[in-house]
Amino acid sequence: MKVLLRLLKGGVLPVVALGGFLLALLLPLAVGKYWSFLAAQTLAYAIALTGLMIVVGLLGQPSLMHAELMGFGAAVTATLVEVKGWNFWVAGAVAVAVAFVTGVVVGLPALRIRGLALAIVTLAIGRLFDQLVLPSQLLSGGVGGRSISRPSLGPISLEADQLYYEVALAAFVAVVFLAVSIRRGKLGRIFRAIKGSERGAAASGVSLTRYKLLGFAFSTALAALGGVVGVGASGSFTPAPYDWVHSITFLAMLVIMGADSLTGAVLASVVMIDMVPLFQGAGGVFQTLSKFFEQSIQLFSGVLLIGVLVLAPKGLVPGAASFLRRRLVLATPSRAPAPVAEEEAKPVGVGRK
Amino acid sequence: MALLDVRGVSVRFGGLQALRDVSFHVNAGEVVGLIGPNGAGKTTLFNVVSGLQPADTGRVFFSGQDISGLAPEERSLLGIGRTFQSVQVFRELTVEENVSVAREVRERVGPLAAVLRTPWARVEARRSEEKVRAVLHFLGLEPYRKSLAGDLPLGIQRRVELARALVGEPKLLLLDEPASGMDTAETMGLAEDLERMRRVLGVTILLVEHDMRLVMEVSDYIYVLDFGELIAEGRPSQVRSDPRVIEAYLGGEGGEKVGAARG
Repeated sequence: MKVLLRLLKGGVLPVVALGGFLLALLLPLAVGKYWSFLAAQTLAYAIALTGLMIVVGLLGQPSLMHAELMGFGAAVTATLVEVKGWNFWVAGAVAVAVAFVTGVVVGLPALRIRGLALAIVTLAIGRLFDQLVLPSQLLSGGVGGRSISRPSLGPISLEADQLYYEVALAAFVAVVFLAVSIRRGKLGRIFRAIKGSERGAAASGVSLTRYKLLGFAFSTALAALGGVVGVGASGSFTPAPYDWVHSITFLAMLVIMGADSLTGAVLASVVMIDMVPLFQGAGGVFQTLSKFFEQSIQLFSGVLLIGVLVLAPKGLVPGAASFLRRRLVLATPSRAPAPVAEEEAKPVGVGRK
Repeated sequence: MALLDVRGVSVRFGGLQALRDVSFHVNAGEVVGLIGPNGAGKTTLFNVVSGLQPADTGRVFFSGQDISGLAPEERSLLGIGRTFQSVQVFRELTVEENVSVAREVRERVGPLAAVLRTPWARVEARRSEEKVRAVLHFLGLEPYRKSLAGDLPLGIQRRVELARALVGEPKLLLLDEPASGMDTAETMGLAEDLERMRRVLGVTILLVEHDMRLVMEVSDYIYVLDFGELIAEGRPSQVRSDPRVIEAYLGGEGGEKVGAARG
């Protein structure tokens, strides 16, 4: 009850979030096995993109290696399960932990370089993963990749896609709580301070080394967690879906939807995973559209990116949100107070001499 | 013992000798002015003291401790605060959050404890809130508390930077042209603020400033930098009439400003 009251006090957003969660919880009842499977995949990508959001949206650093890092999580999990016979969840936890440490290493270049140069270096690190690490004998076990059976949760079999989806949803909700608490808390403020001014942050006592690496570590761990959830759903790992082209799509889609928006991360995943099946399902002219979309998602996202950067520089979700706020005249505290305040703010000095 | 003691600092950028064997010191409780024409090396010297620019030679001592090898954030935590000539506020954060960040990095709470909100983290968070509120009040920034720093006029952004530096309870405050872009009334207000900071907070201030009237009024002692070298020092009245200073300024664009300050 108290929680409910607090939610209501918090305004529209928590209510929408709660409603969305309940709908998401009930989704498998409305759709069949196939869509539950796709929905689980979508959540896996949403988790990975939330990781990308931390680095790009909060820390303000570019990254073109997140698809590979997601694949890394999937590969480590699949390998530990298939080769070592580990329990899936233990393997997944280890994969995330390994990725956290990996994040510290791949974040190192961000201490020295920024902007375009950093983007290129992350692209190169990504290439290292998709050329050498992911296809290696150790992680891929040959050309065919790895396949694992669907995990179970204790005595409960998750063989049914509807059930596995609920587990994916639980993981996603946990990630959302983590991301929100980072964003609203001390850590998020420090990240945004670094995004705002590295010199200003350093001079204020912020260790750029510590917090940039921490940001990359969290981000990489989440990307890997997305990979873990994804490989649990699909039951197989091959390097192909985790190459550098996908990393570029990740970043482009996230920026289109809103680089520091959680909703944006979810919508970007929906576009990447569900657009083609949606169109295919609709049949007719959409069938043709789906072919086009499948073959030219890069072209599509490129054109969209240009449009968005011109019309809504912060991305579609924040752009739409501020548009709605203006339209509905929801309580929008004006950002800069009237000049009168300046007089009050400065009681001393003016009267001197 | 001097609070800040800079000994023989030289910095070279390619073919440009930005600082040549600069030595000076600041005693606790003083307001010390650092003046000189554009490009004299004042900001570089600030960067050396605050750790953003490594010196080629020379050492920097703070409270007797050699801090030459320390990172900027370590110097900040030791008690050296600064503002920037080109304002470096955190644009996407509110005024309150700008100041909070500088306070929160001083909390003895790990990042994980902060995310998990342990009881100790909450106690520290409440203390921080109080401290931040006090500083915002001290500088009259309360009306802008919830405004995004990037949306505010430059003069207010400068004050946000000042608040951000003050919340760390610095012993030494480096102010890089705090009055630039301010009108006369605002500058007078700033002079008053500096005086209050010294009196109420006991902060020692090292000030780079182009507004000669302000420097002459608030400084106890002044160093003059020209082409990377210290050419004069002394009380404001001595520096004002020093022929080398007048020469340096008449050569540069600051010439009429010295004249104005004298007249």
